[in-house]
Amino acid sequence: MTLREWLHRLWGTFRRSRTDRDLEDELQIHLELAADEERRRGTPDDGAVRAARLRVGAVAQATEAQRDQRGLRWLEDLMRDLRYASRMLARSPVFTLVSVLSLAIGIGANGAVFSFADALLLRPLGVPRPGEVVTVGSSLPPLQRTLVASYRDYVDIRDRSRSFNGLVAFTECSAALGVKAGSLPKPTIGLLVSGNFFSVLGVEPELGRAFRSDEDLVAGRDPVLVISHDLWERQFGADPAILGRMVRLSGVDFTVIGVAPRGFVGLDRYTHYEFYTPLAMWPRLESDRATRPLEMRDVRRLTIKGRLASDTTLAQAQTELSVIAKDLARAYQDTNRNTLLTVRTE
Amino acid sequence: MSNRERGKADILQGTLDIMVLQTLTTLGPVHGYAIAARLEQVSNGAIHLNMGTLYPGLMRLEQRGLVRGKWGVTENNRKARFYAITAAGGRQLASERAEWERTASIMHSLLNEPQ
Repeated sequence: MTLREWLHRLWGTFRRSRTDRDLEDELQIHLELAADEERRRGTPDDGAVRAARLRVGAVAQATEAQRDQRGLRWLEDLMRDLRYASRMLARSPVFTLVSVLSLAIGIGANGAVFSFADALLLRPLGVPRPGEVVTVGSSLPPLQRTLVASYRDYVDIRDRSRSFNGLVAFTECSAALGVKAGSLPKPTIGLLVSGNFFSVLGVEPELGRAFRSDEDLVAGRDPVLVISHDLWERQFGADPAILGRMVRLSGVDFTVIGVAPRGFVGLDRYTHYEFYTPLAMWPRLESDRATRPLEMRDVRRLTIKGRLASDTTLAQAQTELSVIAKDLARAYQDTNRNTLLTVRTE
Repeated sequence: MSNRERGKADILQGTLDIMVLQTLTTLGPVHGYAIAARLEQVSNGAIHLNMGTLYPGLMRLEQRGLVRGKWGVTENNRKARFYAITAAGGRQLASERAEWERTASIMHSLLNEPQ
């Protein structure tokens, strides 16, 4: 098929240069001329048309063949099917509604599951060399997959293990964030993090500084805050004079010391955390006054992550953690008797 | 349409174009029936086109700009669609004719090669 023919046929699909009637007329004349000739040859009148038809073929088939040539048959069929489908759908609106909704829900659910799987399985953490990052902790029976630890366990593991290039700990914290006096505080989710959080993960604040190690030493002493890039833009208009500003988190005054880089929103794919403050501030942000999260070994609410030391395998790290777990179980029978420690990759 | 029939139609298609173009060159503008009758006559009845082959073929030639069709009136005062060869059709015929002659001469010398 030449391009010119194809364009003609594409055009012929939408705008008929020759109608069906026109095609049929031409064939009808052909048939008549053939019948005339039959008569000239002496075929009786009633047999002439039949004889002619036998000789030149039937009008219906020929019309069909011409139609195939006139347009693009598949396109014509497709348009006819679409017109038919929309007529049928319009005729039974309830069926249509149910079908459309089923499809919409099905496709939507599929998309949701995929984006979940995408975030969970396929997208790396927003930190440099995410493949090195491992998670350490104990699985609590009801939460088999999740590894958690208490603050005291974290400190022991951090100080005794040799398998890691640093271990960080963090836990989620929701607080009412007041940006200035008199304004309505907004519920905000952030992370309480160990002092080495940014340095071990290799995340450099975009503005200001990360925490110093001494800011995570004394409970409640250093109310310093690193805020997310988003929060900085949204609440403070990306004001570079943000450093040193006071904001209130659940009634406690904090000093903003840094802004996290754009795109870094913590280590959880489903929550975009808006602020970071040292774990030492945990008691002052904890709503349940009876909980002493920094002292009680059975308050297991921290996630521990770290990077494996370069010459260490996962199995070696696991062996070391098992020894530490055994020691802790012996030393703190009340809280750690049945507590194992596990390390695994993301 | 079965594959076999399609195969047959395809073989015909290549020759049909040149036959129709040549006929129009010889006869001037004529209607489809005259083309079919002429081909039948020239081939002594060996070529017999039915409408399902002839008219789609004419339409294809028209779409490719090689012939032009127009409604007119026959000498018996009958309305009919007359086909005329275009300039592009003439060029196409010349090139196809050359190709055919080349093929034929090759075949001829091949088949008459001394043993």
